[in-house]
Amino acid sequence: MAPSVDGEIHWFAEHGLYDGLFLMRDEESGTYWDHMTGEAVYGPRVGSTLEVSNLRQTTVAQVLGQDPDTLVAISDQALRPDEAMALDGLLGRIRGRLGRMFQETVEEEDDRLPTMDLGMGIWDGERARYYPYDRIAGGGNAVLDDFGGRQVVVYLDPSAYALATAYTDSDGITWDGDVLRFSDGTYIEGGVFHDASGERAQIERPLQIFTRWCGFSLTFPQAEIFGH
Amino acid sequence: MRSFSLDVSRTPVAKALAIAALTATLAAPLSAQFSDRLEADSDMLMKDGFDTDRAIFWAQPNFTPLRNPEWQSLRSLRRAGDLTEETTVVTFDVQGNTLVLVSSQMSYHHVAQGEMEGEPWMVTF
Repeated sequence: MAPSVDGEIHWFAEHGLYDGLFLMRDEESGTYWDHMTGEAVYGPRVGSTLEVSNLRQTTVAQVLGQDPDTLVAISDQALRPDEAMALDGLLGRIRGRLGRMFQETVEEEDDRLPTMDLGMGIWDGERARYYPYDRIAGGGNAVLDDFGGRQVVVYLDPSAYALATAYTDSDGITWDGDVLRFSDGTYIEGGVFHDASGERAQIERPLQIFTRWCGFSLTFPQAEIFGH
Repeated sequence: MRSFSLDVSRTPVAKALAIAALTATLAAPLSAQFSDRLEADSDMLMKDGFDTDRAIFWAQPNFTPLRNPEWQSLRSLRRAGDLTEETTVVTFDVQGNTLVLVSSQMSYHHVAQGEMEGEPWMVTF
């Protein structure tokens, strides 16, 4: 996300809750912002939207495989073991609902899916669609779909443990071990897209977030669900 | 004897849950003490449909944002054993640089922000 409002850098911090998700506030104007869409929702800058771009969720191994010169920032907070985070995730799924404070910011949940369902949400200016994790896993860990007239592939990246989405012109996909191969000869290996000659290439991705149904559906009430 | 948490973290779905745990309902930070709430101002501009009756506005941030962090070589930290191959991270590109923040630390900050080669960037979680 670009922390720039009318060309000026503003400084942001988590400062509230709405629809079960955190709101950010900037120090300069005191405006509250949706942290997923970048929209100003309350305050003097309502009408403005921060530029949003994708953040990929992955692992150290995959990032180093893609770029050995990657830089990391370590904060003063303890490095929490992944085991503890996995347990948090499982407990959330078992609990099956939002915490009480989060719940009081929600008017009505979208009950088409369970609150804590896990999946990939993608969106553009006009539409949003949610891909349940279980449906992708049950569909061979990758599916092709039409999104706004363009073909997308939604896949479970085996080296990142997360769902990812990319645009593709290909009309067929197969797994070759951990390599996702497209019918036009292109492929994704270790999170890196390669053209048909095997050279690394850029791949275009829609705006996306790997998240829970509650947060995505409350942010995008018009969201479609893949397979529904 | 292996622990339960170690077992679950080694399955793909548990790794996925570990990543997603940070993105929506944020179990870990809920143990924090929350700041005082502010009253909504009915004269303030707001987006159509925004309902101040169910919004929570805190007087102060509950989590300290990570600002202008120092960048180090990920490869060096990995070699030093500070991070494992499977440590979950978020990654983004700024001015041709691949930048990484550690997911578990971002669950304490929620917002990270700085500049890289003159380009402002921000990560929200």
